Amino acid sequence: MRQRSSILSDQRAAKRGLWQITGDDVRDIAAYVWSLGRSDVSVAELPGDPDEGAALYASMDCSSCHIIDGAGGTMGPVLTNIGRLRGIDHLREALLDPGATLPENPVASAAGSIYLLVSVQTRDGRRITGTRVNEDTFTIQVRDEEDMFHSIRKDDIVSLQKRFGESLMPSYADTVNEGGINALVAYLATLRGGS
Amino acid sequence: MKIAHWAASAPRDRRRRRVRLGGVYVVALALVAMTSAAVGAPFLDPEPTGSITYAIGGAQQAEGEQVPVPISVPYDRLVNAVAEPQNWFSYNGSYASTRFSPLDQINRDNVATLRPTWVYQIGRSPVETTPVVVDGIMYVTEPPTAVSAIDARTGRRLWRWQARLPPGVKSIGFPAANRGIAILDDTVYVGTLDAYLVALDAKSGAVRWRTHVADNDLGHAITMAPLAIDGKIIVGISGGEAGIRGFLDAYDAATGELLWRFWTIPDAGEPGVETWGGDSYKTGAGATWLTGSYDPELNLLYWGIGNPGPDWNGDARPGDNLYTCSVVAVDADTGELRWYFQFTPHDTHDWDANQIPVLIDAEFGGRQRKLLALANRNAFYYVLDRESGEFLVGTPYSRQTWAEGLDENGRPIVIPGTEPSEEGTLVWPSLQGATNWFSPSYSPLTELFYVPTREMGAVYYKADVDYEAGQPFMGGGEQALRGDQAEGSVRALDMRTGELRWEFDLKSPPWAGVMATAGGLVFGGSDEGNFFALNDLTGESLWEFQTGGSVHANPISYMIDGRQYVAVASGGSLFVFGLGAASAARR
Repeated sequence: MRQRSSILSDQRAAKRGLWQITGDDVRDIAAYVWSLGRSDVSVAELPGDPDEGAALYASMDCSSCHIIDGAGGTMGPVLTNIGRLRGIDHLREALLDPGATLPENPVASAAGSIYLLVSVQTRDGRRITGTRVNEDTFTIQVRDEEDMFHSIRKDDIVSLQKRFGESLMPSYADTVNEGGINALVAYLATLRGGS
Repeated sequence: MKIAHWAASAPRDRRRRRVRLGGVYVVALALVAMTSAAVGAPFLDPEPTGSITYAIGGAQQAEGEQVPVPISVPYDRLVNAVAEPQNWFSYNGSYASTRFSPLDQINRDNVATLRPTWVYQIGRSPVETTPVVVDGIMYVTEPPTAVSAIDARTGRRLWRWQARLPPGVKSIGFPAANRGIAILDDTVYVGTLDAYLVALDAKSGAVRWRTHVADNDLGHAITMAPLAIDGKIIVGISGGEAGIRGFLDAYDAATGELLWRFWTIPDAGEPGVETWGGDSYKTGAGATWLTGSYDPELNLLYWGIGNPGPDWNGDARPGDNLYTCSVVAVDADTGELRWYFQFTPHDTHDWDANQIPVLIDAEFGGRQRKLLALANRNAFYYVLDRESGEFLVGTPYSRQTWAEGLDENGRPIVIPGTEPSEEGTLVWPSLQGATNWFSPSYSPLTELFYVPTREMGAVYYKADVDYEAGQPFMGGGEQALRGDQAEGSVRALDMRTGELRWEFDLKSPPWAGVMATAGGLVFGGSDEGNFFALNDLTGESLWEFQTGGSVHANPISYMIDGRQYVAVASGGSLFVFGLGAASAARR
């Protein structure tokens, strides 16, 4: 598979930026990436029982922040097809240490981590904690813990704390046992819906 | 109506040229008609009412004396560009490339009322053009290679010319942008992505001549704005990531004939070729992809030279690799090298010296000197004597982890282990550099050198590579630290010492130039779409506008009808701002 070799076998290709790759390479790599996760995960590869995980997901009220198949809150990422987008190890880390690996915004003009937790102290005495939705040199947009949007000019800010490594999502390392974590990971890995 | 009145009256000034082409005459007539409809906004000062300033040679016309616009930019006007601050004659505004506008109508006191006057939508990106404005007409380039002439008062297009590029045209190692035009007499000059130089009639966009500069199949391309001097058009070349052998060309402005070529890498038997191992000089890159500067008194061109090839693997090219990563002074009549100064010998981080050399005449060390100041991609700021090339000052202006400093000759003292490696080597700055092609600016009023600064590290990799004609020839790569791990700023340096006077923090490393003005302002842009004005003495922000696209271009300023404008491209559009001017046509 030529496109696979473009990424995996050719060390030079692996070390190049996209701007150094020819048009044919781009098409091949895009086709390869698109093919990733398209195959079904066999039950044997799952670390736990997905049905048990689904029940835990419901009982822990994960849907207050996450959408699956159109239902749920939107503070966190949509999980409808998370099993296609993320591997087992990443899903486990996301449950145990949610702030460890935040996704990068793919939009160049909004570069930076998505879901970055920030705390803002304003000149008029407000303290706002939430996720950064966007930011430029003069303004920042924050979605707070109460699910409210704030548009804040940096001139009006006393301090802006970017809390790397943290997340609004709690860690379940101490509240769910290993079997439960495995079941949740198994359930998430089976979420492959959407188009 | 002014239109009828004007159409019926014959030009009285003998200096005016009769416009020969009927179609163009109509365009000029329409421009003047719009101008004549102008009335002054009450809070603007000074405000000539109803007068016409599509002036010839800076002359002001009295009210009612509407004249058509004879587009003519003889060499003398280019030499004396500073005497016509209403125009932005060339890519860098003037031969000295300070990109300082002497206009002061927009200033610290009123910049807060700056607002968009018009927007010209190009619709394609990347737009990295610097507009040229002459006597009320603006010339912008559009990607990949097109030129539009625009009524600079209203944003309405007068003509557009687009190059027919072959399928599969190559732009190896850079985006298919175009950064601008040159104008001389009544002709506009533009380089094409497939490496032609084209001369266009400034009134209509009709092609006068077209000269093949170099073979695009080998990776040659032109994205830079040509530089017009006396009877000559100076053109550099891109292709430093394709193993070209770089050059700087001079063409006859009237015919397109090649007058001289300066090779940026010496040939066999020439001085300097010993700084390359074996045949490596033949594919040693050294591109000339950014417009340089010119000193008419010394008749010297100053041009930045790009990285050696392959970029990140220097094993096959042992030595200093002259004249890569240098600034060269070249005789404008003959193309002969007068002197050179190499910033980064044997570069392995892709730190081209394709930054704008800024020419400054100032007292230095107790006497008046002709200086050349340059903030280099390698994170050092340099001041040279531009008559002799003597190194005067060199100091870091941004975070760098590759050199302990510079020796007494300006040569970097390289820290061992900072070269690219198989496993990757983390170094500041990234390959995009501490700054890059976008413009710095120097204000003679503050004597500060303003530079958009990128603080971004990168992991550099080295790999084997063999030269293959017309293919990428880089020998490795980099993974830059991005997003929240990288920072940006606009910095103000003491011109003589490079000492930091102030900095204005940006959310991310910028890819946009700055312009200082006599209004006490420094204009700049951000990747997140902010276009802003800073106090040139303190760095305090006084005004900003969200353009909705990334600013990847350099700002300019010009004046029409006694009104100052500031223009910058952002995203796929060109924005023009004026004081409180909601609509230029009905101000």
